[in-house]
Amino acid sequence: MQKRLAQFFLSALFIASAQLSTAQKSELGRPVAIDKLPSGSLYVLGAQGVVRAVDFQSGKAAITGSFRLPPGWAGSDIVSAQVSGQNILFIAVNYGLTGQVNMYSTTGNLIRSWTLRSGVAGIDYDASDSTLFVASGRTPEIFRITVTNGSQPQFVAEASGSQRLGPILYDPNEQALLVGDLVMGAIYKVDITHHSSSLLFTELTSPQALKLSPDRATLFVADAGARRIVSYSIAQPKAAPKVFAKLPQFRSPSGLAWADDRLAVSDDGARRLFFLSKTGSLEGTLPATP
Amino acid sequence: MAVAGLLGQASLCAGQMAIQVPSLQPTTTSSVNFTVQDWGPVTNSDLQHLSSQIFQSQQQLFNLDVDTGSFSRDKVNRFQFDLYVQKSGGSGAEHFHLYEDPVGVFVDYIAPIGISIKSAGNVDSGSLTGIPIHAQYEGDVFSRTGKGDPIPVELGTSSQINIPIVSNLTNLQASINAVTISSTTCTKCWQGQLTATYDSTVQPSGASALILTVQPNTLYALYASAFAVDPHKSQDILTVYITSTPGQGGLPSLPQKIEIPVRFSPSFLYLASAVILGSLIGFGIRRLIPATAPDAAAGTAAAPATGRFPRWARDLILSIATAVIVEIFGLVLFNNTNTSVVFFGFSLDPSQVAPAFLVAILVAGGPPVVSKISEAIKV
Repeated sequence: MQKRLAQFFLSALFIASAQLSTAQKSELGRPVAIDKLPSGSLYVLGAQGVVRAVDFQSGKAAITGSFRLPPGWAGSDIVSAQVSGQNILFIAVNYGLTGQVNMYSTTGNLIRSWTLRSGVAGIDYDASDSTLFVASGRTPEIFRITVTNGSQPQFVAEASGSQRLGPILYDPNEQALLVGDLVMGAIYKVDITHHSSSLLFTELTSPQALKLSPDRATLFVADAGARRIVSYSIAQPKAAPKVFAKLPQFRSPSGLAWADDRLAVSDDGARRLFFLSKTGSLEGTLPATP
Repeated sequence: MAVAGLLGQASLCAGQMAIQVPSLQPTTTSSVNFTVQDWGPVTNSDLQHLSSQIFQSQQQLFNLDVDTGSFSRDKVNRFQFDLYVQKSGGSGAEHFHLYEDPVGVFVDYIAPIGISIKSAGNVDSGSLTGIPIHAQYEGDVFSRTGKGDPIPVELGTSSQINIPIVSNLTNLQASINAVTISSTTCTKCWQGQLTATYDSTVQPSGASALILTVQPNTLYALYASAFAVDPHKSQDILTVYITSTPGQGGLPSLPQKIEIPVRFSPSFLYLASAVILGSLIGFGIRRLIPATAPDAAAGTAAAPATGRFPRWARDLILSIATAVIVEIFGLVLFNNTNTSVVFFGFSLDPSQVAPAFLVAILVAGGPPVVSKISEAIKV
């Protein structure tokens, strides 16, 4: 029995180290979304359905692991969370016209799935209520999934006037959802309680990712069409956006995440992660800029 | 400002260079708008790593370099590709990223798209050929060829049905991802799994075939066929669902439905059994019907039975032989001229068990049985 146990652990160790070494050699691919666990790795979702873990070793970012989603799944969004004390990744993908939200362990074991017939454009998680919010891919609808009771997606509200939904963000202060429109270049505020929506921010080209500052006072937006990161004051929705970062290396910023004190930006076109300081200056990239 | 949907054409002015891409109309009820993003300048060395398809603008002021390796889907499943616009004789290029925003239902195809370029006072236009135009809602990728008549499926054995299909994609390959089959009206008429074999890749406008392997459940199939005796109507419909993906970045389609009407055709053994059983029953009924006065008179006037067999046995053999001859005659006519047997105004298929059984009863029973049935129907 003990011999078998030892064999099992040895083979598990071998597999894990093999996976790690492969991942370290691999490139970043086309990162379409990122998110970071409060105490854990930064997770990067690739367009071709590869999830990579990024950690900081001696201050430098490096890929430390990866797993692959089933073939044909096109990555859309990723959110990390703690569910029942376990680190979890919610990964939104599209297969053809069908969308799917999948609950994975951080080691790549599929735990549960939810199917959305009209595709998926973005997801966010409200930890206090164990609820996932999903922006539909082809309709202006927003759905809610209660993770703990195994419910199916339930309609929450519609972003009236929206042409094509993109990223979605839950704002716990306002108990509202912020949803980007890729075609209109706007951000809608969706009142969950009253099932209503209103136009909140405009003057964007193609918002691909939304992130609140740690104090939740500022909204950061990856504006892919203008190749920049802009910020809005939540308290002053009518104020013009401020350009937080507009790097010449930006091609199509696609995801935002806070990695300690830095804002990590994934760029689908540049095939890179950019790490920005609190003032928006570039502190590093992954892969490192030659 | 990269807003295409409202203007009908995508336009982008980035620094010194602006491009416009007008929308396409694949059909009268569908359209494809293009959204353009400028991704900034690139160097000549960046261009060397592309899967390039290079075009020149009409006045040869610009080189248009489409990276076919960039044909892919974005995070919300829009088809996207990269275009590099280079001034003729200049160094480096401007990198543009194009998204397709299809509306309506159409079948994917490859088309040229127009483009106009403005840079530092120079205006030129060009055409990018070989661009895949992908629908969000795919039309029917395949059509069934040949007649839509019911296909005969032999009872008592496993058989293969060949369904010829042709791809409706005129200049794109289609990959068949999955084929599933289900019975529409008689699920119990089939044994085991209904399966299909097929070539996974179909060339543009190419012909292919789905080969369905089926095995009827004889008893249920006979029961189903007993009540569907019209030779032109199906006894079950097999629904075939094909999921496919158009080449060069197409989306996997929703399952396309193709209906295959089938008729069960019994083997020789089943038909022979039906005829003999029908003959015996017809003969028995005739014997049970009381003879009318003229018949009785004719009977007494008839010549006494001679030979090795008694009279009833000769009548029985004669009845069976007549029924067999009529069945064979009916089959020959039906198979060669598609002539059906008309029985009390109903068209029957003599190759089916129930009609063969009925015809045998009537033939073996003779005029007494026919007139008895006629009287019963009139009542």
